[in-house]
Amino acid sequence: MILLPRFTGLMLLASVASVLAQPEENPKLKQITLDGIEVDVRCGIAGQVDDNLAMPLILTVSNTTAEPIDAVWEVEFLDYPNRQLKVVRQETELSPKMKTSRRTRLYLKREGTILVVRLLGNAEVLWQRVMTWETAHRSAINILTVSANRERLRFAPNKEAAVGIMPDPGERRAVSSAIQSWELPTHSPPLCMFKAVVISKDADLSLSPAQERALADYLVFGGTIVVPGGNSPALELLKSNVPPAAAEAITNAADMKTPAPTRIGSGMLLFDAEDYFLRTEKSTDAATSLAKFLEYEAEPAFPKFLQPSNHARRGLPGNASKSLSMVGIVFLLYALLTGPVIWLLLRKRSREALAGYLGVTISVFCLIALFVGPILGMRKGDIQWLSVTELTPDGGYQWTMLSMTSAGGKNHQIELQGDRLRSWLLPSTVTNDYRFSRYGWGFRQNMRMEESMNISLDLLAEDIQKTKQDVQISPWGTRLLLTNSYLPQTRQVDVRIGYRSQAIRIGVVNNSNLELTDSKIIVSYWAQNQGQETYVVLNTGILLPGARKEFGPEIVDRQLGNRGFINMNIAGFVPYHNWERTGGCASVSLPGTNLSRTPNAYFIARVTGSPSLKIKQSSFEPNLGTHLVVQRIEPNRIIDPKRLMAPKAIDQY
Amino acid sequence: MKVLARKLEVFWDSPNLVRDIGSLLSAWRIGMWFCLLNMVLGPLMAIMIYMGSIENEEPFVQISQQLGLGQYLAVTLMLGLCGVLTVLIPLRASGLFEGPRWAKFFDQIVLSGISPERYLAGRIASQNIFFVVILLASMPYAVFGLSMGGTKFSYVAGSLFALCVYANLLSVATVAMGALFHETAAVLITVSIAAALFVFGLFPIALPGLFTPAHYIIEPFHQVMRSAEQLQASYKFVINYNGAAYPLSSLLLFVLNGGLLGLICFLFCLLGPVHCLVRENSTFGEVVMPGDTRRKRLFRMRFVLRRRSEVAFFYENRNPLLTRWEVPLRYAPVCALLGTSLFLTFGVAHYYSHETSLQEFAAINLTLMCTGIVVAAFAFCSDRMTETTEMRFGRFTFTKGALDTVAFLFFAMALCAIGYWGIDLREASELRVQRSLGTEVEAFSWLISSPDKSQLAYVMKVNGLCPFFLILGLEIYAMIRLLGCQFWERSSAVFVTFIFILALFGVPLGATMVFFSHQDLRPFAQSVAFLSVPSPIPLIMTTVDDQVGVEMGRLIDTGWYQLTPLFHVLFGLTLAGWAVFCHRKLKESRSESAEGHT
Repeated sequence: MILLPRFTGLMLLASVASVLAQPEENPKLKQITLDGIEVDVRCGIAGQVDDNLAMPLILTVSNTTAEPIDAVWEVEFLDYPNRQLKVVRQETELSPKMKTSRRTRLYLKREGTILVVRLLGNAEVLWQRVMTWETAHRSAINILTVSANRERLRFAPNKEAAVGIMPDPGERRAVSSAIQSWELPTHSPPLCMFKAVVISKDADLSLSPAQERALADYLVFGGTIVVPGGNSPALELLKSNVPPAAAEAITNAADMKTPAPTRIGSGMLLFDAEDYFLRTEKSTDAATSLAKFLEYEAEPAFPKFLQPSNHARRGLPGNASKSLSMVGIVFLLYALLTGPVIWLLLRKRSREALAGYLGVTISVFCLIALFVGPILGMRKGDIQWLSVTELTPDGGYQWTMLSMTSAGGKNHQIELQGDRLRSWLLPSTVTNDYRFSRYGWGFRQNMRMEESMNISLDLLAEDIQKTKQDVQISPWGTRLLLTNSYLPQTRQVDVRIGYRSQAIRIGVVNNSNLELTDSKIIVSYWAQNQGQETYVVLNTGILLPGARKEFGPEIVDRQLGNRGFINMNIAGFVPYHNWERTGGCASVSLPGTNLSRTPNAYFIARVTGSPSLKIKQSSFEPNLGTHLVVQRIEPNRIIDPKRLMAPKAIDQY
Repeated sequence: MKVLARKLEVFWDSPNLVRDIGSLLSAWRIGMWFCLLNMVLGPLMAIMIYMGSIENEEPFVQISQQLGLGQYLAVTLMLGLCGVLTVLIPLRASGLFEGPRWAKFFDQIVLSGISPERYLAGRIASQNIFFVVILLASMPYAVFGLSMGGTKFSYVAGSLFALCVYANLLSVATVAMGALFHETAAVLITVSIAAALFVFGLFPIALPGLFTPAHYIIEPFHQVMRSAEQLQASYKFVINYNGAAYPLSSLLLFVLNGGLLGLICFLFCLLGPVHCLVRENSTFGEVVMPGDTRRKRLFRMRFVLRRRSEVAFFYENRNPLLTRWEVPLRYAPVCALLGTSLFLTFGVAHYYSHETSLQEFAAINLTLMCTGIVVAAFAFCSDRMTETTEMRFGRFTFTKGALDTVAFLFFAMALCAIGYWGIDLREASELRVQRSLGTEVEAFSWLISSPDKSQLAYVMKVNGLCPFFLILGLEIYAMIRLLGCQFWERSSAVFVTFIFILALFGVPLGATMVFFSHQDLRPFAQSVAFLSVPSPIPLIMTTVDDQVGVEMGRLIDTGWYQLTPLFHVLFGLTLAGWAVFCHRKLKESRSESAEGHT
């Protein structure tokens, strides 16, 4: 379930590389008096980083009485201790209602440790806020709380203090961040950093439509949201913004008498009936349990199983590679003809002959070079795809990463088509940024990621939804387009996992209208391995029709801290397996293992063509793409883990 | 105009120009140059395309996108050409003296009576033809950049003009250096200085003294970074007048500075080395010292002296007017160059002082002062051949030694003054900045720190070392001058001084430290602690409160370091007196020798 937020988080953490400002604001100073009129001051890191990798910090001074403000004030930004705050750019604009509010947007580079923002009027400090930069770890369980006073979740200080039966978070640190509701982003990618968003009962949910849409997108595309119990405004907000099929699920969940995790789209909704996480004596236990629950929802290392090997190839794709080779060949020829050829062939010739030869050669190559530019300008660029579509009872939710590379051209456009389409063109400086490079590479290779800076929190609405994108891209440069889209009319793959004769048997029937290939089942669970809680991933390998193999578990044992990681690749076979025809079915047998927890199980397959997102027009040529379909196998389809306490403990491996 | 045309005739009426044109279009040379150029430009442009488009180099991606690939490649091409010229022009400009000397026809050139300006100007002029060939070779790269779009014609034209000036500047500088030093050294020195200036010019630092076109060529990159506010300070030199700021064009600055430097170098081409013909080397082709008949042949071969005397003979053909006004013509440019360099260095340090702490600035200030004094000591020294050379200033005649002393003392005093009061200037500026930040916000007093009195007192204490460093500088200079009266080569005097100073500062201190560090010898340590007096290290360490080891701490506790300044004053006076005595003796022997000849 958490696959998609994680997937997007991987990309977004790198692309939306900015910092989270943790404001320590004196609430009394929030409202100030300017020219006898009470005004509201808001300040925060907002939006995506710009082309210069600078973070936008927005300071808004708005009038609560709608009377024009004539007061003059100045904004001062100080960076401590270095005093080397790099204000990349400053934009000040008035609101549509002239003089009722003023917005100052600064693009900053992180240099110091503490940022002080002050509002000065007649050399008097009217308002100020101190912010500290924080770095969030991608590997941590990040939980965002939306509350009135930026109240964070508090976790149990140690393992012993924690209660409940959930697995220990192990080495993954639970990190809590808090914002006020107005600081919520206006688009979902920044939220994908967080494994869960907890909306407190006292949070003021008078959000902009874009912020509401961002929350809903975050949920249906794989996020976890904890809302107050009953028919709260948060629930209403989500209901009105998710796809209709998912809205029905929200209604059903709200009607449930016992609050329980409910799947909405590819995400999950949790109810916090009594503001239990924040407001009760047991809030520490509750928060710890939530963190453990989220950890428990950890997915297997998907990219390793999903990615075809050729996708990991580095370097330029087809057209770009060819055009660059062409330029290289032209200048290599020039170097050969004006260097070694003169030495070898024209040594004995007269000066006139040498001068003539040089004149002709240089002229010819000048002429060739003159035509190279326009020829390159006309070449189509390359697109490489990677999309993951999660099939749910509400429909298919597709996340797509489009990697666009120029083949020497300058002006590129791309027009996309899809239901509930959201797209983000990431600045090339960001996509080319080393952090992204590491992410991209890590994603491909399933490497552990380095720490990344945190996401940005949006303050003001920005219209970022565009179906048609003008891609400003330098020759042979690369840009990324991140999209999500929705596939309303699709059915799921029916997967059942049973237990028979000391082995697990999985039966699969493809009820979707997608043609699937290279299908696999990945089962992951916590188990006891040599006395340690161990995360086990079982991969069926590719389900090939027409062949049957006995279990040949190939074990890869990697130590990740104090936790063993065992990966068993089992080549399985089912006589009925036939994905060519919709409705084919398959089954595979897995060994019994010593499960201590309920397993997570996913069905993964490749699909030909993009399920939802389509390219309508493009000056790029698709040359390599992978579309994957993922479906979570619901726990009720999986055998009771108690029956699997078993003869074959994995210790023997 | 006619006079000017007649003066410029020396450039194309030179045998060297005719010879160079004749040898330029040979397959071997053309092939080599094209190969070298392609080997530099091809990979350079490929790397820059890679960095600007593919690889994850943030500034390059940003620059290439904002400039457009055409302009980006144009900048790269011009930088590549600048680098190629930096290496090739000095190489081609060498061989004016050594070539004929090795081929054994230099005496014929001297005897032909050809004036140095006519002989040297041909080689300088021929560089322009070579420059055109290099430009032709790079044409396809330039056209490729143009076809990619975005190249500005004005920029390309300006860069080519700057490169043309640069090529001429390099050639005239190499020829001038070749007249003063051995040509191998001249090429190495010119290439090293030009390469260092080239690299320095790439940095976005506002400098009025630009002697490289690199700053102008890379300006589009700086512009992009400045527009993105990645550069805090201006990369252009700005003149503030009446509250308005006027940025100066880097091209204009380079052309002015380069032109001035070129004129100075050309002046040295005309002046040549200091007249050094004395009795021992007054025979063309051979240098005969007293007692040479008893020496082995190996010890009678004096290549450097021979070369100097041959070049001196060649410069006997120069215009007599130059001899009459030699003092201002020789000293004014050197003083101007040295003074401007020091002024600019201090100026840049002050300009960027807000980025350094008070202690760091004090350290930079003192280091610059010491470096300046050492450079001035090396610039104004002479050897046995030139110590008593008489130089004329109209009707007045001075010895070179006396002129050197005056020039050095002037620079040493000026440097000491700047070093001593530089801190005050910086502190005044800092206080002004702090006051402008506002003082009313007690809640954030940690942001606007009041001037730290203890820090200031510490820096002023360290600054008190300035007079001591001046004494050391004078002492070193006296040493160089004393040894200059003994050695035939200035470099030998400088080298021996360097070794002696190292020994004086290090050996007694090391010996004392042995006593302090060995347990068996420690009882005698107090008795021998006075040996460390010549070394300034304990005094400096005590003043700057640096972390010292236990042994050094014990040595400092003895208090002998307090006598170090007195020792160096006495030692410096002794050396100065000795140097004056040697100078007089040398002058007397020269006079006697001259009378003997007459």
